[in-house]
Amino acid sequence: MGCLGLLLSWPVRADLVLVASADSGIPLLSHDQVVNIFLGRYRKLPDGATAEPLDIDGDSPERREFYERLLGKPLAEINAYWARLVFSGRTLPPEELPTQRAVLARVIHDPVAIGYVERANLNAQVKVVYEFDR
Amino acid sequence: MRWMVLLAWGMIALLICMLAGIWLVPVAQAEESPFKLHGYGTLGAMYHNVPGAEYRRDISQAMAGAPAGRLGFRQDSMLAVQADYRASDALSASVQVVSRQDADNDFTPQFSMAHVRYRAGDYAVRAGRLIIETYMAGDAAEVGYANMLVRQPVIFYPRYMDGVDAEFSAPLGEGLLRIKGLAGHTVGKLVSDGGAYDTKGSHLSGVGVEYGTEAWGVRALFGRNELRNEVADMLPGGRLAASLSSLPNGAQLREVFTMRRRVDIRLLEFSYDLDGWQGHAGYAISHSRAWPDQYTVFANTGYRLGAFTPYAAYSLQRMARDFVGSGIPDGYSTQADALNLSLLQAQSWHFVNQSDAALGLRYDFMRGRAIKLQWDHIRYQDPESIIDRAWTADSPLGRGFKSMNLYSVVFDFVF
Repeated sequence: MGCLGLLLSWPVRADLVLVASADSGIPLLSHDQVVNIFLGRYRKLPDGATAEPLDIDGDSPERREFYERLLGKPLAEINAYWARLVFSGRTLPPEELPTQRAVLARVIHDPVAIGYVERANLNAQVKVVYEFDR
Repeated sequence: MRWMVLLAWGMIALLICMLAGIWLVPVAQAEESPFKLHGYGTLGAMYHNVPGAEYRRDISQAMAGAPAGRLGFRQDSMLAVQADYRASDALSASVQVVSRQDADNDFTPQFSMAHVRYRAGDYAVRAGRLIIETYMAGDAAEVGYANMLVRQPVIFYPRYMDGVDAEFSAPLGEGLLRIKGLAGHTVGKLVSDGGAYDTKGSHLSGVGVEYGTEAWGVRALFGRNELRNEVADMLPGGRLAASLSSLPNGAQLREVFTMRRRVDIRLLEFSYDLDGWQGHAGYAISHSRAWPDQYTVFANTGYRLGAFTPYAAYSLQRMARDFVGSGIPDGYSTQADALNLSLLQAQSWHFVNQSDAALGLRYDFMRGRAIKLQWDHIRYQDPESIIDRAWTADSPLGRGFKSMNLYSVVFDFVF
């Protein structure tokens, strides 16, 4: 019974994937490209366009999961990183949207936007441009 | 500049209204709006053990540091408000106002940033008032929440400029190459025993080359600052300029005391961020005619254990103590001895010889909030930010090293 309780309380890892509009020219991205885009280091794509990353609000489980899987870092470190860039005026952070639904809606209508959503929420109007190793 | 001060106070008032809940609608819609109002701050307290000495955060603050045996709340405490406007993916603008203890020993809000930023492909350009990125994260030295330490171990001055910087970035191998050039005129006052020096209008130029991967980075910087203003005593007809002209070594001393000069800085840095470890190390040389070269070494490292990050840091600043005498031997007369002493004391204000070993703990207890505890053991002969009034009457020639234990606790936040 104790083991069952342990299993039930273990956090379930969301199956997040990075998506872009199905009509966009954004190709499959490498791990380094995704890191550079979401950390504001380099957002130019191979075709010359600039990718615009989308975050899900502040302390959301999706955001926490995404950065832990992408960089192995907790949100506190990511927030400190962005505080350094934003308050020194170097660059602005990814735009924040409230929900996965909002991210999907934005991605569908913006050919350079990319955002993370759960695989279960995919539809025909978006394509996966990066997925984590399972 | 009165309008700038009024605008700065206006932004502070706006912040207070927002925090009080009066201005709710734009906050609720912040993610949809091209405007964003946010900021950062620090509430700090420090305590040290050296009677007769005062500690200030850096030399941009007035000669009014924390005295021994009492808590100093003013030195590390600050509040900044920033407004960002994202016109498009490529074009944005930012304005930042900071209130901190300044050269006039008050907290008058000042513009630390007011620029537009344009990005196109591999290139990015900013124009307006900029925080100078002398070293990695040096442009975020005041953002306590962004830094592992209470204070960055070494501060390069001045911090702000009105000008332009341009950046080129491109993937190279497994990493990213970044080349940045900057040019402009500096802003800000520096304060020493000799009084306040206004860096306003001094020409600054530099180029930095950086290469890094997700785990590590290396950066080299070459910078040049041509100080424009002269201290009043050294202007034609000034008290010091007049007295130097009658001394045997007057010409040499004039070279030492004039502030109109070129200062060159070369800096090499290394950073890493891997498996919970993060660190930063650097070596810098500052060179200027008639002044000894200043050598700076700094290193810090920390390891994240959940919400806690214990860390250690060390910095060393060294200059040769090459004093120039008046040319009149001691004992010639009482007046000559007093003059010799005052010339030596004035030269010692240019020197920096100190080291700082620090241990600390950062605790990220909630989103955008962190508490830090830090112990600094500072050994100094010619201190930079310590004001040691016990030394003001003595000759700096026979001066040894003193030690200070400085204890700091800060609450850093962003909003």
